[in-house]
This record gives sequence, C-alpha cells and structure tokens, in this order.
Amino acid sequence: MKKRILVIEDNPMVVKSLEFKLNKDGFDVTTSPDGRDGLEKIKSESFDLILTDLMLPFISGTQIIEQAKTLAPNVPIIVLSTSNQEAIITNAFSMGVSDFMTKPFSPNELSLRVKRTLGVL
Amino acid sequence: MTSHILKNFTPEYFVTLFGEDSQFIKIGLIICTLFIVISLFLMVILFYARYQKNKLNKRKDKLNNLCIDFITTYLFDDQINKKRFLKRFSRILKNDFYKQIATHQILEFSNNIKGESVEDIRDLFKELNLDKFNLRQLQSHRWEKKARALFVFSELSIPIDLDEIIGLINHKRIEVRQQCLLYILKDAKNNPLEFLDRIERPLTLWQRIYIEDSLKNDYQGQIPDFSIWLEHQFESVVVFAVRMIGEFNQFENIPKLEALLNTDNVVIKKEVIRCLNKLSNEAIIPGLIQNFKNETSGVQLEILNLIENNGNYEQFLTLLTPIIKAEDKVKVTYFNMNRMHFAKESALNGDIVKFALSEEPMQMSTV
Repeated sequence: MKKRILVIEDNPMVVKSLEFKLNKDGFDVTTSPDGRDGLEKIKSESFDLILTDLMLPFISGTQIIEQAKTLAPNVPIIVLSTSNQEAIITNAFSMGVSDFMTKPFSPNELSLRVKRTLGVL
Repeated sequence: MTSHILKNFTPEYFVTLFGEDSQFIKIGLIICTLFIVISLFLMVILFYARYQKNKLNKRKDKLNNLCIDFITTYLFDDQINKKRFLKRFSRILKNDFYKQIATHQILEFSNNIKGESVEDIRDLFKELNLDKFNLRQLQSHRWEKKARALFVFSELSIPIDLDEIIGLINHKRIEVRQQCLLYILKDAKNNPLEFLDRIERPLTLWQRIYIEDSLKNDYQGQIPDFSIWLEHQFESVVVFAVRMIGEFNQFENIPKLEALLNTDNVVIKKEVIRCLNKLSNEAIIPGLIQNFKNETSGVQLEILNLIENNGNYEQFLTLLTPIIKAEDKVKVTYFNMNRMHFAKESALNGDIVKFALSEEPMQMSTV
C-alpha cells in the first residue's frame, strides 16, 4: 500500500512540484493550500508523513506542528520553509519535527529526505 | 404635524409657486435626469470593469496553472519527449500576455528550486524565446516594462549586452535605475562599481543598501578599492564609499579618511568618524577633542561614540568643559557614558562629571 503524504503549502508552484515528484516516487500525495484546511485533514484522515511550510494563511506552520504532535504524535513532520534563521530551525526541531529544509530546495534532495524519514530508502 | 406639511408639497404646489413655465423647475428636472443617467452609466462601467477584471483573473489563473504544469513536467518527467513537448507549449504562448505569465512562473521556479534543475529552468527560458521577448520589453518606451525585463534578466542571471543597458543607469525613473544597477552588480566579474563614475543622480538610501548587500552576498570577484570614490561629486556616493571602507576593513585607506575629516560636509564627516570608529582608529581622537566645541551635535555624538569604543577616561574628561555648552542630547549621552561606560573610573574620581553637570542649569529631568 502506498504511503500517504500531506503537503501543506500555499505556493501553487511548490505544491505542484512536490506533488509531481512525490507521486513519481510512488507516494500518495494530498495537498492543502492553507493551515486551516491542513489541520482539518490531519484531524479527519491518517497520513504517514506531513510536509509543511511555516508561513501559511489562517493557521501558521508552528501551530500545525503543535496540533499534529497532539493529534498524531507518531507521524513524522518535515518543514519546508524560506526561513533560515537558527532560532526558527532550532524551535522547529524542539517541537519534534523530523527534518527541516530551506527554500530554494532541491526536489531530488527532498525526495531522498522523505524516503529516509519514511524508512523506504 | 410633519405629515401635514409634507402633504402640501405636491407637483401642483410647485406649479402654483413657480408658475407653469418656470425655468427653475425645468432646470431642476434636467439636472435630476442628468444625475440619474450619469449614476446609471457609472454603475454600468463599474460592473463591467469588475466583470472584466474577474475574467482576466480567471484567465490568468488558468494560464498560471498551465505554465506550472508544463514546467513541472518539463523539469521532472524524464519519460517525455522534451523537444515535442516544448514545441507544443511554444505554440500556446501566442501573445505578450501569455509570455508575461510564463516568464513570471519561470521566475517562481527559479526562486524556489535549486540544484540541477536551475540550469534546466534557464534553458527553458531560452527555448521558449522568452529572452527575446524580454529584450523587446527592455527596448520598450514604457519604464515598467524596462524595469521588469531587467529584473528578469538579473534574477535568472541571463547575460545581455551591457552597452544595451548602461544608459539606463541614468534613467528618469528610479525603478529602472535600481534594476539596472542590480543587474550590473550581479553580472559583474570585476570592478562592479564602475557605473558610479557614470551616474548623474545621487544614490538613494535603498540603492546603497542594495549595492552593499549585493557586494556582500552575490559578487564573487575582487572587492574594489573604495577610496577612489572619496572625491565623487555626489555626497551619497562619498558616504557610501566611506561606509564600505569600514565594512570591508580597508585599513590601508585610513590616511585618506583622516584627510576627509577636514571637510565642511557634516554628513560625510559623521560617516568618516563612524568608519574610523569601526576600524578602531584612536589616533584621530585628540584632534577631534580639540575641535569638539565647534562641531554640530551630530558630529559631537559620533565623537563621543568613538571615545566610548576606542578612547580612554582622560580623553572623556577633557570634553567636560565643551560639553557644558553643548546641546542637551549631547549632554545626556555624555552623562550616560559616565554612568555606564566609565562608571568605575568615575567612581574613583569622585564622579566629577555628575557634579559638574548638576551645577549646570540644564534640565536634567530627561537623564
């Protein structure tokens, strides 16, 4: 059975590239254009991995991580953000995210990190 | 009572009041009719404009999605026949509007993606002839098209003939000048600030910030000797050059900066002291103390800052006499330096500064 990945990202270009790349890698990808929709999906569906941005409309990525860690504590989270400030990255890791990638990102590298996090590498 | 009065205002009442052929009523009617017609006309225009805008946005969204799909497939799908795929997409980009959207999406990809795909994005830009389209935009008479084209070439690092754009460094619109400057900086292999000799307008603060950022983060070549612009005709260029001498630690230019201390230009003088402060130059302190009372408050504050970082308590105390005649903000800074920075030395000397300043009739409530 295909592993399910939830991508929460508001930039349609990034969403399409991630969706395309991860689908090609054999994952089942669900996308959310904002934090509110993403959180609804986390509540109603089950995923094997969450890939989220930090700057999102309605609900921020940080709030999503907090909620996801309560609702689905065993689901690994990868953050994909434009922020490269040490404090933000440290804060994300202290909240329990598995990995942090900064934009601009390499789709191949992201694909490898996703596989490694899901243990399919 | 009110309704009784209103009942009297019937058409017949006005006819009786003004007469049957009253010009007053006719003009009033014409104005009312005109007002209603104009209102209706404006409402129709408003609705039409909104409808057109929605239509355009829908078209834009559709085309944006199409471009994203195309670029994603082109970049990440190894199984497609890229040549045929490209040809098909080129046919879609039939007018300037389509080309603008495609350029915008290519920029989006370029800003978000790194790695091996970056070269592919640049190739795609050329394969779709968007470089030619943007060159045409650059030659357009409209400033926003020029600025946008320069931005695109600069963001994608697409080489263009410098002779084609060097004239734009003095364009009447600041947006064009700024984009031109950014392109030159990004493209430069050496001597990135050569354009400073050609500018005919002062540099704005934002331009200075952009140039500094570009020199620090993008430029790969040798950093120029900034002292060659210390005698530039524009104050903004001199201030920028002085600042850069400090930022890039060009200690060899200290003698030239010291010579600039004799300038009558307060802005330059302040920047020179700030720069020498950064370069930890303490040799200038005695000279500055000597002339302290004749300086403006801005320069005096810079001198105090210099003494705080590179001077000693004796030099600080020498300023006690001229400080009494200085402006309040200088006195406050001096007092705070005594309390915070030289607290230890001050305590050993019986806090003469506090004593001397409290003797003054100055309003120390702000301290």
